Amino acid sequence: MKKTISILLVLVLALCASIPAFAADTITTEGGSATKDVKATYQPGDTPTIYSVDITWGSMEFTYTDASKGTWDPETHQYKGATEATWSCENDANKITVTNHSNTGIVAVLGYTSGEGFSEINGNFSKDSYTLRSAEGTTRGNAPRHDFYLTLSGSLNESALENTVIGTVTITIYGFDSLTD
Amino acid sequence: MENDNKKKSIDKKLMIIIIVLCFITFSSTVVTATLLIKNSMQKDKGNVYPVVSQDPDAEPIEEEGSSEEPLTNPDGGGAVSLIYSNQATASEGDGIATILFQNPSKSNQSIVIQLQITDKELIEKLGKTGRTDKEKAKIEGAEDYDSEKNRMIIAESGLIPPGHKLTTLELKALPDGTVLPKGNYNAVFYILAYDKDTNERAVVNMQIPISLTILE
Repeated sequence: MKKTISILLVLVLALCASIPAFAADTITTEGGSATKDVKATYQPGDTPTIYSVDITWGSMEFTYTDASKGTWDPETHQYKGATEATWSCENDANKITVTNHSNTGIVAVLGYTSGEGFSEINGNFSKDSYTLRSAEGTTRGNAPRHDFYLTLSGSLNESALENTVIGTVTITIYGFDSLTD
Repeated sequence: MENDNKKKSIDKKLMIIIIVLCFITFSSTVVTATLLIKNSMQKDKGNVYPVVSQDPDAEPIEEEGSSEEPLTNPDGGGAVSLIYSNQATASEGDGIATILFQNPSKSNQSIVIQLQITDKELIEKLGKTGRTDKEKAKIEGAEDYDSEKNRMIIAESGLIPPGHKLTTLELKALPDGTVLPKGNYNAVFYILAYDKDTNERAVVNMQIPISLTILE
């Protein structure tokens, strides 16, 4: 029994003595040196994408002025100064501004949908889409932004009431990541 | 003596009739005046539209930069600021979806969020749009039907006023009772804007493509 315990104790002591050998290279001579690799693994930081977009729009109120034959000239029996039908609006009433405060780029896509009964009226924008870069490295005052302008074409029936809703504008905001999916 | 009593009785009846008539006249005058005042007050309000109820889960945003100036509102137009994540996750197809959507106080529009999925996406994922037979015949049977343009609404918030945020949306089953099964869906946040003072619906809408994940 004593023998067995003694053998076990010796084994335990021998194992303990060998532990430092796992820690680093053994220094065997006075003034010697040992080396140990330093290891590292890259893990990306947690930076979630936050979308922050400001959208402003003008009144979107347009006036349709129908074509005019001009003024009747009784001498020539002809009309003079005929004009074509036009769509007009107050200054910037047709402006839509998209400003990007996100930490990623966005793409703004604009679309016009005619209302029921006004399918002959079309809406076009100065640009159908525009890419706004990330707001990283910018201040709130100079955040990436773009102005879009809506113009209408087609004719409005004289029976239309004042300020009739003839269509709607839809702004789609795509994030760069959703475009690459 | 008997005549006196008779006269007194007649006078009493007359008095009651006069009191009743006075009461009726007074009541009708009050009712008429109230209705007239109410009517004129409604006219004074001008273009006031029906109120959309505020979402009960809309919470005030604790804005650090609350001193930030409101957006410049073009005359007759609107200005809205949106802060959001383009990811939404729900444990079940008819459960609560976790979202991030803020309408900061610098907006001058209240918003309503609809979570929509195109017919095309639903047909690809479920093999159907989930409309009832009647609606299916009416919409999907139309000549100009486009599965990419038509969408189903699977969740809709109440009104989110400026300075409020919403972190959850309750998903609902499709009209035929189908619940979205586990999977990833290309969905869209469709944003309706309402003037915060008059409740007038803006002619400008916004939409944001997002990824919806149903976990179970």
